Amino acid sequence: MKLTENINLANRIFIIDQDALAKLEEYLKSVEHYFNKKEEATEIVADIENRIAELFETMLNKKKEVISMEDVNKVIEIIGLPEIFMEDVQNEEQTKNKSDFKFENKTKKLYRDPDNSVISGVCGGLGTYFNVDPILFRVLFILAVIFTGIGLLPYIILWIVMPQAKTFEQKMEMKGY
Amino acid sequence: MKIENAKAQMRKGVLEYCILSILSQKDSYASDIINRLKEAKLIVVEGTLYPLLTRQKNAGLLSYRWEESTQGPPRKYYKLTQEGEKFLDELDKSWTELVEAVDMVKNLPQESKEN
Repeated sequence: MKLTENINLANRIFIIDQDALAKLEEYLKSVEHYFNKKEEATEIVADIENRIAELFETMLNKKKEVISMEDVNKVIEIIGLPEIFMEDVQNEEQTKNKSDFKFENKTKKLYRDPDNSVISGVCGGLGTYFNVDPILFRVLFILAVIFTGIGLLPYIILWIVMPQAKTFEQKMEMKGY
Repeated sequence: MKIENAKAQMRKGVLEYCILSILSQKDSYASDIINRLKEAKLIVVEGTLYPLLTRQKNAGLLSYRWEESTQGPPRKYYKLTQEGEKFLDELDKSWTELVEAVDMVKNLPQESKEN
């Protein structure tokens, strides 16, 4: 004699031996743990439960009304353990990380541009950073010197704080590549 | 290098392509697709299919509808979306190119032998 339980699997009622139920629960949990995103896991487990219900129904008839351990083992063999079936599933996470990496490199850095300089490259660098013609900054600084009291001070501060792009890498950073 | 590994890598690449191809012929539910893939010996265990279908659906390549079944639980019928059809067209092209490329590479040593 064995104790059985009633379970609802994909909206179907099945009578199942207690030991077989424990095994089935353990299997479904192991599948669920394999997926990072919760929504994805829920959906895949639901699909697999649906398939299990379908397989169970083919295993039952008038002489056999209860799902046994043997049936559960058969089902697991057909659907496969997650560590086995996931081998054939492309890992999307890996490819995603690669493209993120490219993105991170695209932020621009503010440098003085030695290839585009009149005095120090401050205006050239500003032009590259803001993606405008450096002549705009040159005119602004000249106007500031002539018409305002602040004179050359802002220009000199920028000259001091902005590093010069010397290496190839720094020049790439300056242009945002 | 294990032969099983190399085979699995090849299979992995064509599996998603084959699922889309099957669905372009006829809207199908998971077990139909499984039977076709098993026939072609492309999958060993059925579980492989479910994560692939879910990901293709989440990527907008597939949509699904529920249909009652006379035997067993209701079935989820998958269908290619317009985007899925475009995607499949691209894969068809690159598959043809790939087959041609492999043929070309494989045939070269024979030609050089003749020379």
